[in-house]
Amino acid sequence: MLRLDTQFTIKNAPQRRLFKIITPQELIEKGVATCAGNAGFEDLMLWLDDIHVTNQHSLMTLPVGGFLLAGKSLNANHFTATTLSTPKDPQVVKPGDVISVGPDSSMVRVLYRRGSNSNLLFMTDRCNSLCLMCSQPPKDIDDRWHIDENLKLIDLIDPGIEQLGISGGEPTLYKDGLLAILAHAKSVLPEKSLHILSNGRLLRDPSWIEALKHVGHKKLTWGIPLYADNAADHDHVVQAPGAFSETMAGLYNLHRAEQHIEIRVVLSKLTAVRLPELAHFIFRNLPFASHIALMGIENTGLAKKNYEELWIDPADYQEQLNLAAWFLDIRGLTVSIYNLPLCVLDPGLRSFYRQSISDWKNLFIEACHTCAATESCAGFFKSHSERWQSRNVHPLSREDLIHMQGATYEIA
Amino acid sequence: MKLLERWKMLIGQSMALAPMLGSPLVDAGQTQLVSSDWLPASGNTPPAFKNTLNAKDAINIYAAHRSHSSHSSHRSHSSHYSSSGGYSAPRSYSTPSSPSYTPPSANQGSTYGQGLSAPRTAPPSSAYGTRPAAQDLSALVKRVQLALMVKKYYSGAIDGVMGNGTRGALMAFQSDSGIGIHGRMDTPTLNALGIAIP
Repeated sequence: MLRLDTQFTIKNAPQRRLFKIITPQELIEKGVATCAGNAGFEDLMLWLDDIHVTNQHSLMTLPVGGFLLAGKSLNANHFTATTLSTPKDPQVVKPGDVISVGPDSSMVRVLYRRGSNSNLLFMTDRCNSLCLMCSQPPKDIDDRWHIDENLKLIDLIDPGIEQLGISGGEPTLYKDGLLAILAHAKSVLPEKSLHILSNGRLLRDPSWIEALKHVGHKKLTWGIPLYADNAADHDHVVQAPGAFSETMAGLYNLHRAEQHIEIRVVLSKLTAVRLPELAHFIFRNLPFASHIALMGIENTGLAKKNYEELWIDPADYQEQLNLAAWFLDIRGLTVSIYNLPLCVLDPGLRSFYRQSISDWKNLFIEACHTCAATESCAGFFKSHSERWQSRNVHPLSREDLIHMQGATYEIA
Repeated sequence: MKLLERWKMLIGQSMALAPMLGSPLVDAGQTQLVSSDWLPASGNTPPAFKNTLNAKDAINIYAAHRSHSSHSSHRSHSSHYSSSGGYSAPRSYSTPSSPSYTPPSANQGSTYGQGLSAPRTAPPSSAYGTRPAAQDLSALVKRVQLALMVKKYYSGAIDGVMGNGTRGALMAFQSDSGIGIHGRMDTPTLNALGIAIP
């Protein structure tokens, strides 16, 4: 698990802007083609290591946007260019990453990490819901600046196949900005698939249909949470009256707009009990969903203070999980189970299990020391704590893993 | 038949079979299901791939450009191409051209489309004798200067100008590398420097 920001000594950074980190070797080989979109030398920050110390002065005549002095023997003084040096954690920023640097703080944020499995475009901290288990508690501020930052970010990231998330807050709150970002991503990064996390409520406005069809991004999936087969329970989870019917209207509009839809369910005491009914509801009313994600809960943000309402030991909902997952699977809907440690999962559900926790926020605990399954397990969230731990967490042996292959039974 | 004659017959049959003794059929083990010549003959090295960073016949509009100032020499472009071994089908190494960005329908009042750049447009690679844009040329010269500096042929400023110092360093490099010593950024030179044609 590697964090996304760290402190640097920053010199000569007059305003907040983005930089693409590049080694001299990559600059020689690819030049600005290392960035997917239109980028110039001024967008690059040259990564200088100890091996460059003899050439440091000449290299720093290069007309790039700035320099990152990663080598300890390099001298940061007497230069007028933007320079970053002495990182608190030298592992955080690496060549290929895109960072945000500004004069207002010594924190440098990594907005894109080369080789990560979870790069995302952050749209806004605002949200129109207030889910009891929200992992990103909303702030009511005007942060439209994220949009321009993301448009620039798209130009600077590596070309190549990867999935980019688009998240927040609620991304649809800045409608024009989101559409502009989708269109720009389609133009500059057509090979990358996009996955938007949204509550879908604002998509009940039918003008989204034409707008999304016009953008026509062919690799876009909308991840929309649905927490119950009825309005009372769903609205309670998201703490917004009317949300259930707005989300349903939004889902139908997305389908009219020929979009790919993923239904996401966070498993908690409020959702696990009626999970089989929800599965039935999804099959009857949203059979066009491309994917259903059943997700273990993350103990962060608002979830912590709503422990009493939310916590249920995953060991106690394995039966509902089985009924729901197999009900949908046998009817041709794709199901995945996310964010649970493999040892608490009913072995019969192994085929739905995904190693899903982002690489910058997962870890293993002491009980995992002797486990044979750490290579295939999602692990725990970095926010994990004792009271959110299943009683069934235990190291798995190789024999346990053998019995997990495939399903041991099916339910019609 | 008498015993001696039987023995003579047996020995005769064995002699007839003697050549088979050395063959793989003699041993009925599993391993002999495949004939023993499936192993590469010793002394054969693994195949070597001779791909270069830029294809030999890739279009390189930077190759003909002698120096930043001499634009009058462009009339000689066609002869340059024909002298480098004939014109072959253009193979593009530039990013595929995509439709330029149009903002979503105008009546939504979007303000995010205007300042946007289209995906990076590479120089048109199918045009015969095209001159590279000044900025693209300057960027390539910077990369060449950087590469020469890393290889210790050049120690001047990295300014994107193909001046005498840069050209001299380039020719020294070309000489040491056994390629044409002309001070131009042709494809073999860029391959030797490890620079992908923009």
